[in-house]
Amino acid sequence: MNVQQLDTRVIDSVVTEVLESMVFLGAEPAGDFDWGGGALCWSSIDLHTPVVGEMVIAVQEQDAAELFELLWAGERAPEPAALRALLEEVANAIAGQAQAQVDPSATAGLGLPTSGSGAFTAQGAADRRHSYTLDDGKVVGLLLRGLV
Amino acid sequence: MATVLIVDDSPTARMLVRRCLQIAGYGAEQMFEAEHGRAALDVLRVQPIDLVVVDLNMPVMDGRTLIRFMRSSPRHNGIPIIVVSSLVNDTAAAELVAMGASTVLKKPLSPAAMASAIAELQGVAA
Repeated sequence: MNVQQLDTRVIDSVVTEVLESMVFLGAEPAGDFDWGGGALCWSSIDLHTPVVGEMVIAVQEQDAAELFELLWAGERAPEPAALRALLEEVANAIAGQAQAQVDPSATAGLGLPTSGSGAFTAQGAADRRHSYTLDDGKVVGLLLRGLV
Repeated sequence: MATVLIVDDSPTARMLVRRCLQIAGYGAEQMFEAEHGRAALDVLRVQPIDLVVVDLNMPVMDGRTLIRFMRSSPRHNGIPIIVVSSLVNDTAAAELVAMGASTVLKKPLSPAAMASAIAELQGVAA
């Protein structure tokens, strides 16, 4: 199955559950994430089975630092590598749960997450873009891309 | 289950598991970490371990391979293994249990789920 066929309801439900579990904030599929604007912290993960494609999760760097603080309650310093590791884990959890739900009879497969910071310029016209607004107003972007 | 080995390539995931274990009553000095299956085998060779908490999707050696290695080893065959992965559905859970996993938990992990899994394992062992 190409990622473009992935049901939006599956994505919305998984994103909401993962964000609530990891950063203790409710999330709604709303808002407008600015993929081209400013300093972002993002993580990308390849989807292997049953959905094939790529998923990217991104937040503003400042928001990533604040989410990190929510998760660790000051126990760890929000260093750039730690912020990216957090985004990788969020991407891994969302992508994995989505894959596992699409076909419960199939063994789901993912690549290993990668991450980066700064502007996210690798966008295409066919990308599916979703935005989620957290209870505190932060916006999380999710991008789905099929294989070319 | 005095000593726990946490196997995950993600430092964030390892910290989350560590936190859940601490809430479930384990102290930091009782926990060891490895970033993939091969590193976990290195720890198992030198350190008595009572419980392994392992991710599936890792570089170098993934969780499924680690489970196979442990279940084919007379020395490590009896160690309970909790799989913690985002890639969990009914099919995957059944496959993992058949392979030798003791329990399968879904990411993101909660302290309650971890405490319940450990209590269940201790009940089985008692």
